[in-house]
Parts: sequence; C-alpha cells; structure tokens
Amino acid sequence: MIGRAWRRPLALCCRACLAAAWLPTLAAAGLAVLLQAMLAVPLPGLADAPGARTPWLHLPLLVAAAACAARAAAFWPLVAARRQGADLVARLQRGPLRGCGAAVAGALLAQFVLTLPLATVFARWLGAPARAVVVVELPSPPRPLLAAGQPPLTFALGGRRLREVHLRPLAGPPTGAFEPATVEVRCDGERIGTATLAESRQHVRIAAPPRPVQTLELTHAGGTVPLLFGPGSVTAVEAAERSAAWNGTTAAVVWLLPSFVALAVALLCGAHAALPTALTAAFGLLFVQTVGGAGPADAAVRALLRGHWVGATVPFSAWLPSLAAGSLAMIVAMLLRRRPGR
Amino acid sequence: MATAISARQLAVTFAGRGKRAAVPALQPLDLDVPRGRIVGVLGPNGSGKTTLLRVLAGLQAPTGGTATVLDLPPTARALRRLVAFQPEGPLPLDVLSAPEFLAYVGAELDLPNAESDARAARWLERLDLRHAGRRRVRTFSTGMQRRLALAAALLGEPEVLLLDEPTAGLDPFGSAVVMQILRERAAAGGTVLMASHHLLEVEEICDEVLVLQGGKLRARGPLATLLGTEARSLVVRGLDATAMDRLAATARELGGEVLAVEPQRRHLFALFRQLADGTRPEAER
Repeated sequence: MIGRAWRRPLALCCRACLAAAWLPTLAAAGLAVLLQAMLAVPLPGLADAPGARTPWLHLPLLVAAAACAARAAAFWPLVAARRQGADLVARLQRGPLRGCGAAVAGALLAQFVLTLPLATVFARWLGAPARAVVVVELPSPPRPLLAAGQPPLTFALGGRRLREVHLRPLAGPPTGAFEPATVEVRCDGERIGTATLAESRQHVRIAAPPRPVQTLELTHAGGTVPLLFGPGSVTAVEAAERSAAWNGTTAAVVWLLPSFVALAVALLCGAHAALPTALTAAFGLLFVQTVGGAGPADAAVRALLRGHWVGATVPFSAWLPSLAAGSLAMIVAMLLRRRPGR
Repeated sequence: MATAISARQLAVTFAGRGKRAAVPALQPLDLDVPRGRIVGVLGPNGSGKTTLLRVLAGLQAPTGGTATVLDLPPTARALRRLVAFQPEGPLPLDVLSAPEFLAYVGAELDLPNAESDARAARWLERLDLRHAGRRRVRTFSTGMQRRLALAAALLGEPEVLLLDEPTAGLDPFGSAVVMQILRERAAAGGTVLMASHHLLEVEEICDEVLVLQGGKLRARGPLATLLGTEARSLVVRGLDATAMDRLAATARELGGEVLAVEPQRRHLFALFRQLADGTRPEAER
C-alpha cells in the first residue's frame, strides 16, 4: 500500500515540493538570522519581547509556502491551462480535479514538513518560551466603562485556574483634576491586587490565586481617569503550562491555511488561465493572508513567539473563513473542470 | 472485421470569443477503423489531426456527431487502460526519472507494482532508455522523451493506440524501433491511429491513411489504392551491364516500361547505421 501511495500524485508532488523548497527555506532562515542579528535594537531595562521578532519567523515560513505552491503549480500540469503534456496526465487521472487536489495536498504536506522545524526549533532560537500558556481574551461586558459612580465590571471565567490577569484598557479624559485611576481586582470576591492606570493601553499584570476562579471583578477605587474595558482589554493567563513543541506544530498547521486558499484559487484561475496568471493569484493571496495579516497565520506566529497557546489565540473558529474560502474555490474549480473542453 | 474506432458526422468547432470568429477544427467526418490496422492521419499543420485524436482520447468533446472507441464513448472510464494516447510535445512531470514516470503511469492504470515495474523495465530496454538510469526526464533529448512517451502509452498493453507524431524528433534507429513495435501491436490485434508528417514512415507502416485539410477529410483509403500501386515493379541488383541491357530489352518486349537503370547505391539509412554504430556508446546500441 505504501509503495503504491508513493507512486501517486500526492507523494510525487510532495517529493517535488520538498526537493524544490528546502534550499530556499534554509536560505531564508539563514537570512532571517542574519537580519535579526544586524537589526535588533537593544532595549536596556525592558523585558525581552520575542513577539517583536515575528517578521523574522514569517520570512522563512513565507518562502517555504511560496516555494511549495510554485513547485506544485509548475509540477502538476493540470493546475493551469495550456500546459505541455497535460493531455497525457488528464487521461490517466480520475476525479473532477484530475489529480489537482492530490497535488495541493502534496504541496501542503511538503510545506508542513518544512515549516515544522521552523515553528519549533527556529522559533525557540528566536526567543519563544520553552513552555506555552493559554491566554484568553475575556469578553467585555455590555457597559465596559469603569469610572467613579459606575458599577463594577464582571467577567466570567468558568472555573479556570489562572496565573495572571492582564489589564490594558483605554483611558478617557479626566473628569476633574488629573488623578490616575485605581482599580481593585477581585477573584470570586477575594481582592487579589490593585492597578493604577493613567493612560490608554497601559499594561498591568496582576498575579492570580492558584485555584479555580469563576468570576473576575474590576472595581473603581479612586482617581479621575475613566477607563474603557473594550474587547481585548482584559486577558487571563491560565496556570497550566503546555508543550512548546505542540504549540509550534499547531502554528505550522495554521500556516497551511493561507497556502490552501492560495492553491485553491490558483486551481480556480488555472481552469482557464495559464500558469503565470495562476501563480500571480496564488502569490498575491499568500502575501495578503500572511504578511498582510488577513488570515490567522500572523496571529499564530505572534502567539507562538510570545509563548501563548496558539490553539487558544487562534481557535478553530478563526480557521473557518480560510477553510470555507479554500473549499469554495476548490468546488468552483471542480465544476469548471468537470467536462472535457469544447 | 470488428471496428475499433468509429465516428459519424464527427465535428469540432472552437467557439470564438469577442471579435474572434468560431474556428471549425474538424468538419463532419465519418470514420471506421477495423481492429488490427495501422491507420495514418496526414495533413498540414492545423488540419485537425490532433483534434481528431483528442476527441477519440476523450479529451475534447465534439460539437457535433458521435464517436466510439471499442464500442464505447471516448470518455468511458473503461477505456482508460484499453486506449492509450501519446500526445505530441514534451513530457509532463519532468522532474521524475524514467522509471518513476512509468511507475506513476502504472499506478494510475491500476497495474500491480511488480507487474508495472516489470513491464516498465521491458519497454525501457526495448526503447533503448535503460541507460538513462535515474536521470530526470527534463534532461532527456526530444527523441528520448518521445520514446518514453511511447513506453508510457504501451505500459497498459492497450488495444488501441492513438499516437500524435510518434517519431517526431527520433533518430532513424529510434524510428525503426517504434515502427517495428507498432507493426507487432497490429499483428497482435491492436489498432493504431497515428498522426504524422513523416510521409515515408506512414507509407512504410500504415495500412490505410486519412488525409485532412482545414478540418475536412480529403481522402481516405488503403495506401495501395490511394497511391495507385496495384501494378508490380521489379528491382534487380547484381547484373553486369550486358545482362542488364538484355533484361531491359526483354522487359520492353513483354510490354513493360523501363523507368531507370541506375548504379547501385546503399540506402542512406544503411550508411547512417554503419557510421553511427561505430561511434555510439555500447550502452546505447
């Protein structure tokens, strides 16, 4: 069975992609190391911020994805129209996509093989913590304003064991003579700390008790600066630590989504367009979804380097738009390629 | 004799776009190819030869008429192995080696791995590609790629071979081997429909020809009929001048026509073989 699978389009395309992409990926990783060392700005007195090194991880990941996509599109003669030798393969292949789906799967498999060491070993070298923690953004309450005379803000935690609570609210103009706001933080009624906040997006960390917590409560305890706790203003860091290797693996999987969408759209374009057009569409989409931040890949890489559990930062629901877009493009490509040309 | 390929009023018109008019690539034609025959498809570039082969291979839908191959529509799944198509031009998947390429073809034809490998080895040997070893197909010469394409077509032991320029780019040895293989296929009951510009080869190997021009069928029939070669001729070698004169006189007395008395020359192919055999590497012979 294995010997047979080895002769099929998926394996052939995977091998072709690996052969074509490993060297550019390695070179891009080397370049990233070099540039990171040359351009790093030392910040004395400040904590290390591995999340700031996200671009240096993006570089080899993007090169691996682009090289695999390019090789797959060039290797499989039915990805784009008017390719030499396409007739020979078209007669042999089954299914409405005539092996293109297997070629895409092969390219994604090759990309995963290449990006896995980047997301685990190389990410560690860039400063990703050895263990990952789940960081949960708490949904903001319906009236997220905290000021004098306002009721406390309550956030449901559902029995999570926490390590820390992070506050990053927006600050409004003071209501009287400027005096920083003081916020009391309580877990299930027990006071765990006080935060003094004077400006927008000021970041305060408060240690939480090592027990399951049902509710988190923020109470205004003084000051004239009103605070707005909108989405993303309060995050809870869970106490349990998780494997960084699994975190890297998840990030590598998330990085397959932009490639899936790009290759699916290349198949869609390639039903009638030639290879350069299909490749241009694929590269454009890949770039927009990764470096452009229009997909979950950027958030996944940033979370990975910060030591945040990628599965919590980029939950499966965040994958769905990419999966839906790629699947839709595949289905339309299938319909366009269903019958021999007229 | 059973019919391998049949077409009735088969037509293909490529739709126009914008200001471009529709192009009739194949105008309604009827066709019957009996089993066990080698039929040549002749015609200038753009005459519809490749379109005809693509329709019969199930790769191009006709816009009119019907076609059947082995009594099935050309797109029938059952024909995937029974009918092989060798398109013209370079091979796809050219980063593979020749054995890998044939292994892929065998797997897609559902041949067991061992059988596929055995057949591949046999055809690689027969088509003089054994020496290519693990080289990538993209490094092959045009002739080697054509031979590998033929090996791929023959791998499934098809009953019908649709060949588009099977000897284009081949050296005389390669052409001779291909011709021999096609003859053997026909002798074993296989049917061959081949488009070619090599008129001498077509004349040498084909039982019948179709001549297309501008998508229209201009002539069709057995070569002997089309070429008018029902009368016999006599080629004599090894007589001295006196004997040759006497023979010519006798021929005239019997009502024959002496067309030429020429010095004996070797055939160019024989000269080529002699010269090339002295320079070709042992592995290629």
